[in-house]
Amino acid sequence: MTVLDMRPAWQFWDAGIQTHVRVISALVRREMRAHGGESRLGYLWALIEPGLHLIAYMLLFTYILKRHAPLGNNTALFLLTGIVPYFLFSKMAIYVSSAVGGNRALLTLPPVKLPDVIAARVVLESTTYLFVGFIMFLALYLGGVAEAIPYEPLAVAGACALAVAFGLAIGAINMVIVSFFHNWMTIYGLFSFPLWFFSGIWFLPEQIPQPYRDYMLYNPIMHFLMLFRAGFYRDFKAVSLDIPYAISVTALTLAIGLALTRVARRKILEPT
Amino acid sequence: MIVLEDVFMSYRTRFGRKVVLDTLNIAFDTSKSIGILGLNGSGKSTLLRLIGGSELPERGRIHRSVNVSFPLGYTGCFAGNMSGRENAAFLARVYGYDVAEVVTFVESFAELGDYFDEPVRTYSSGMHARLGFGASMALRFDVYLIDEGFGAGDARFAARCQQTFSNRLKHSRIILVSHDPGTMLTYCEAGATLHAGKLTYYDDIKEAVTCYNEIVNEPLNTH
Repeated sequence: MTVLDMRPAWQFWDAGIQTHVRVISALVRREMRAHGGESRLGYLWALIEPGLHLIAYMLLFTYILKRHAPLGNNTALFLLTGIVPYFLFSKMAIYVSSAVGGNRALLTLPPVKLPDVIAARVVLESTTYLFVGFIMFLALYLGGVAEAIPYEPLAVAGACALAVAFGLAIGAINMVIVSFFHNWMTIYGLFSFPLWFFSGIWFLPEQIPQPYRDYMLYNPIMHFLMLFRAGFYRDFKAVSLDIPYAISVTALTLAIGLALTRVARRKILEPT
Repeated sequence: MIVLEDVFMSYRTRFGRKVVLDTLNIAFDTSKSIGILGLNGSGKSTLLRLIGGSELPERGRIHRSVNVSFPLGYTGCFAGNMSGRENAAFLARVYGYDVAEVVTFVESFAELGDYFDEPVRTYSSGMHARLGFGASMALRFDVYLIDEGFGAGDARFAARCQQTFSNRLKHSRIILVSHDPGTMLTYCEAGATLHAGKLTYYDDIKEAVTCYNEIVNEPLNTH
């Protein structure tokens, strides 16, 4: 049997895109309320959490390592140029993976599809952490750190885009695994701790001796952080930075993640 | 027209896979209201969710050339942590209606009082049905999908529902799922029975009801 509607194909596309835009914006509005519980404390926490990480790393630098930042004169700025892109990635990976769990009832509405729910979370979470990053750099700048303004905004924007895309990719893969093993996110938490420590938030790959440096450079997050820093520090050569590698790993992981959610969508949407 | 093409659904139970919809091929003529009759657990609600698009078929495809509502009377479509007002606003945005208009309509139609601003998870099933019915009456669909819950709530609300609904039926049609032949004969022109995974379509609802009564009186098939 064939489709009975004889409208030209572009009209379907146009109507389809309009529906997606409506659904995604309705979901974003809804998630803004639900995010972080019933109170507004959720958004304050989004600002406090990276702040706490900054303090933890500052203590590590000043009291345990007793060193200066490997770039520039300001330790806080160096750490922040690592924490901000890292948070963009790590928060996305967790938030996207729970997109279905938080929207199960709304997903039974025919126009609300799985990609809409994922897109809404990407929009909201990236906006939140880009804003948090902006506030923190602004605070440093107002505190007298003149370097806290990127001299090459394009590199910073590219690093943010890659971090978000890779977070989405890992989040999508997590979402698929969770639909098969409900306790997966606990295990993922264990994996992500070494990532937090070894992705270069508090060091540069050039400080790592070979052959370990080459092994660590397989981690694409390391490249995102270098690219981000290359946009802030004029004197940062970033010899280890491999942009084509970072882009291709991100694109490949994203393709795999999105393809898996498509293939496993029935399993993902299944009531638990 | 709503066309089902090789639609297959099964569920895993402790006793192996149970087929609920066994490769259905049917074209529903949506210029008529259709009643689908079946015993409890025969897969009627599943079929309705598939027609609406709330759920995806295990195999097969469903084509719709009309604007189909979400299944009514069953409460799954509302987010428990959002209030009735927020849920109504969400529906308006998703379907592209004026938010204020829809919310005002639902508020006065559902008569939930202060509960309209409480999270939906605190609602009783009657309040759920009021919200669902109110919301679907605020939006216009070519075909309304109704799962049993006709005339939910008290008698006063049921009467208002029926009045609004018969008004709406001048332009819209319904697909009603029930095991009660009485409601069917009132609202539907065509009918179908769902039994043992097979759907049989009848141009006349009376014929469908007769066949359904035969199924009901059939001796139980014991293994």
